[in-house]
Order: sequence, then C-alpha cells, then structure tokens
Amino acid sequence: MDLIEETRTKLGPVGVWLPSAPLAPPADVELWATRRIEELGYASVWSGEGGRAREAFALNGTLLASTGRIVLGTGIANLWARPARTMQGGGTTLAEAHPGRFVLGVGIGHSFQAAKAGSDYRPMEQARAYLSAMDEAATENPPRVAFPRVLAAVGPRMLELSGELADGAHPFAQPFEHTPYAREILGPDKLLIPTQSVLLGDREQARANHRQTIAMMRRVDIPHYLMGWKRLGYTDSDIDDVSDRLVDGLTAWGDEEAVVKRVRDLLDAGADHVLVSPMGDSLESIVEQLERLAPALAEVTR
Amino acid sequence: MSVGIWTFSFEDKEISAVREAAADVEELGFDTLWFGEAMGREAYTHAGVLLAATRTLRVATGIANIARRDPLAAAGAEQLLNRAYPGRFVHGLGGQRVGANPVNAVRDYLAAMDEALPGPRPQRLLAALGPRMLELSRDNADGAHPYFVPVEHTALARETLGPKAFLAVEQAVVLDGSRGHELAREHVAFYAKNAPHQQLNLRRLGFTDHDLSTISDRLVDAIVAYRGDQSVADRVQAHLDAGADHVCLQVITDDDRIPLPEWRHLATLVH
Repeated sequence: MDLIEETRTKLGPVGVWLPSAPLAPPADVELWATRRIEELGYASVWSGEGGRAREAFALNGTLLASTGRIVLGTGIANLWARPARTMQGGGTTLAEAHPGRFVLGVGIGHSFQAAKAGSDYRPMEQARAYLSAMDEAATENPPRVAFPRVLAAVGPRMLELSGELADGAHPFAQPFEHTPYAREILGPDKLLIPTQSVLLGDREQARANHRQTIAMMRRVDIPHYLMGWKRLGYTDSDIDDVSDRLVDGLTAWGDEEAVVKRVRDLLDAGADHVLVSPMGDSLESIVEQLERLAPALAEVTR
Repeated sequence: MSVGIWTFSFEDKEISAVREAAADVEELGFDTLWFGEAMGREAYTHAGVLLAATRTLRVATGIANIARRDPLAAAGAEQLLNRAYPGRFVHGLGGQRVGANPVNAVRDYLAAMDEALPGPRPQRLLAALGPRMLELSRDNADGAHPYFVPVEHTALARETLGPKAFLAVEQAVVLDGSRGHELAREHVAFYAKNAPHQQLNLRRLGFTDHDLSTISDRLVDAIVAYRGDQSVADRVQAHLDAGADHVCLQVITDDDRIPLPEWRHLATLVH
C-alpha cells in the first residue's frame, strides 16, 4: 500500500483542528485537550504555529510522546520559521519516533511573515523551491519511515503544486464549495484534508464569530482566504455583510446532526479527512463541543 | 564530578536503538547526554525523543545551529522542552556558517528569542571558542560549550567567563589501545583541515602552521585523550581543575556504531 492509501486508512474520516496558536493555552491544557480528543475517538489533532513562538516539532514531539494512538498534524508548520532542510529533519525525526502518527502540513504563510524573515513574498515560486529543497534533503538523508506531507493551499496554482510536489492539500477556512473544487484540481490520488468550522449553536453566533475573523484578516492583511471565497462566487457584499450564504458556506452550525451532515457532504465531495474545528474562545469550550459531537461523528464512515 | 557523554553516533541509527542507548547513558550514571545536529534529525525533535526515553538524564543540544531556524521557533522549542521536562533540557546554541560576524548574529538571535517569548527558559550555553563569543556566553547566556579544545583553553575560557557562567567542555577520547594514536590523529585532522573556526582557535592557542599541516603529535595529544584509562581520567580532572563545570566525553571509534561498550567502560573510570 502506498503512503497516501496508508494515510487515508490511518486517518479515517474525521479529525480535529485546534486554534491553539491564537489561543495560546498553557502547555498542560493543550496536552489535556489532545489526550481528551484521543479518548473521544477522533483520529487526529492538528494545530498551527501562528505568529508567536510556538515550534511545531518540539511541540508535536511532546504531544506524541504523551499520547498513544492519535495522529498529530501540523496545520501548518510555517516555512518562514526554518529552512527546508530543518523542516525535512523535523518530519523525519517525528515519523521515525512515532511511525504512522505524524502528518506534516507545510505552508508559505503570509507576506508579513516573509517580511519578518527579511524576504519578499513570491508564494508560488518560494513554495516550489522550498518543497524541492526538502526533497533534496530527503535524498541525502532518506527517512527510515516515510511521512505524508501536505501543502496549505487555497488557490488553483497552490492546489496544483500540492498535487505535483506534495502528497496533497490542506485547505484552511474555506466554504463547502472549495472541497469539490480542490478535488477536481488534485485528481483522485492525492490527499485532501480541509478544515471545517463548526458550531453547536445558531447562525447569529456563527456570523458574529466570522465578522471578527474577517476584520482580523483585513487588519493584518492576509488576503488568501477571502480571495478563495471570492473565487468560489462569494461577493464583496457577502463578505462585508457576512451574509447568510457566506456563514452557511463556511460553518456547519446547528445541532450534532447538522455537523454530521456537513462532514458527510464534504467526504462525498472529495475530502479524505475532515478536520472539524469548533468555534470557541478556549480549548475547554472547544473540547466540550467535541465531546458532544463525538458519538454522532463516530458513526461517519468514508 | 560532572561528566557526560557527547555523541554524533545517533544520527543514522534506528530510533529504538537511540532510545535504548539514551536510557543506558542514564543508567550508567552520566548526568548529561549531548548530541550534534548534523544531517538527518532536527535538534529539538531529537532532544524531545531522548528526553521522553529517559527520566532524570539531562539532554543537551551540542549544538542547535541558529542558521537552521528562526529565533521564534528556537524560543518556542526551548520553552516547551523546559516545561515538558523541567530542568532536563540544556540548550546549546551556536552560530556556524552564519556569515562574517557570528558574535553579532548570535547576540541578535538571543535578543530576538527573549523578545519573542519572555518567561522561564532552560540553561543556554553557547558554542564558544574565541574571547568575544566567550564574553557573549558570559553576558547574554548562561555559559559556554567549547568543542575540540585543549586544557589550556579551558583555563582561558574560565578566566573570560568569570566564576558564575557554566563551562561545559567536550573532550574526545579513544579507548582502542592498539590504534589510539591513529584514530586520535584522524579525528584531529578532520577539524584541523576543514574547520576554519577550529584552525583559528588552535593558532590563537599557539599551535603553528606546522602543527596544523602535519597534525603534530603535540596537537593530537592536546586535543584527544588516547593513552589508556589513566590518561582519560587525568584529562577530565585537568579540565575540572582548569575551571570546567562539566566535561562531556566523545568516544572516537573507527566505525559509526553507538559506542555503548566504551560508554560502559568510561562510567567505571569516572565514577
């Protein structure tokens, strides 16, 4: 069985993406949340590095050593944080130490992160060069245990690159329609692991949450996600007003059944593994929703 | 007597063998295990594996190269390992191949780490040979980790560091009696021929072009303890007497295996 099929089997249909980078929970709370999510039967937990000092490999190494089964993913490890050789070395070491339990999500990040690293921002060219340099490092020091590598991708060219130089794509913060769109570009043989924003609550709560997120995206100038929405037919006024259509596209809100339906629809539309991400302002409140969702999501099959 | 083990031998070994070896080092009574970041493995991830495989052993990066990740990532990694394994992670940092002015590069890097993430952090030791990097080790870190140095360097380093900074010195040893000089000489030749920072340091200590180009016996004897058990014990004691707080022993062999039998033997010598 090849790495992609192995990963599909290992991951199953449902995992979790946690906003641990922006929430910056104490380390023991993050460990508690990871263990609890494992206990609840979810197959994976993913989190990012964010703009703060949060180092993906040391962090995931510690979490992997303190859990037993669950797969850990980086969503994402930012390429501006380290050269390609170091990224490859981190993935190699974690895969070897915890075989089958690590997926490396790599991303080009945003222009302000490039600026901070003293670079200009040419995402396509730089992502391509970086993945190629990782491959060179892998040729020099072949990993004993292969690990899947997915690329953060929203637009068509980055999705193409995910298929060409990575094992698939890990789209973030996109509406439902993005999944069939991305699968079309990737073709059947690559991993597609999207995040899905979830709320056990009503549309107005979801709208308020997205309103904040959109304001933040505009404030710090991270345009990729909004551009992704527009590419799929959402208009400026959908975004400015945070329209019903946009809220419904972005969020699985309502009861457990509504969430399960969305996850099933995403799987039918081409997702391999859906990372549910409950809205919440603390890991505790997020885990609480995951506890409520677990029995229903356990029934979902791919 | 604080004695540790320093090794490059984990790099390409099965991780299960590496975990077992780390546990053995702990069981043998060494207080710190140092490893280099050379090729395949990422330093902090590797440190995490070694820490998770042991209970009381201190694990030190010897060193994590600042060219390999941005200061935010290094700060996040050191705090996380320090929290997850309190008091057991030693952060050795260094600036090889970082441009014309490594002292400034390391200084800026440390400042950026502190700015990114204030709060409790592990012991930070700098790969230091020359006086300016030793001063930086004293003023902007918790001490120094010189590699490939004779005992007289340890005395000079202590003088520059003052009484408070921690001084952890790497010492190469050969335990293979029949080929001691040959293996020691090969080890010295590798650095004396390829590493400009080591060449500079040796010249600063009074070794001549002749010493470096011929790999003189004087040079080999100064860098490697290879003349039997007593020479190893004496050399460790000499570093401690000259001001080292900790000596970590790197066993040089003619192959790339994890030198467990040699570590066992060293344990009987130094305890």
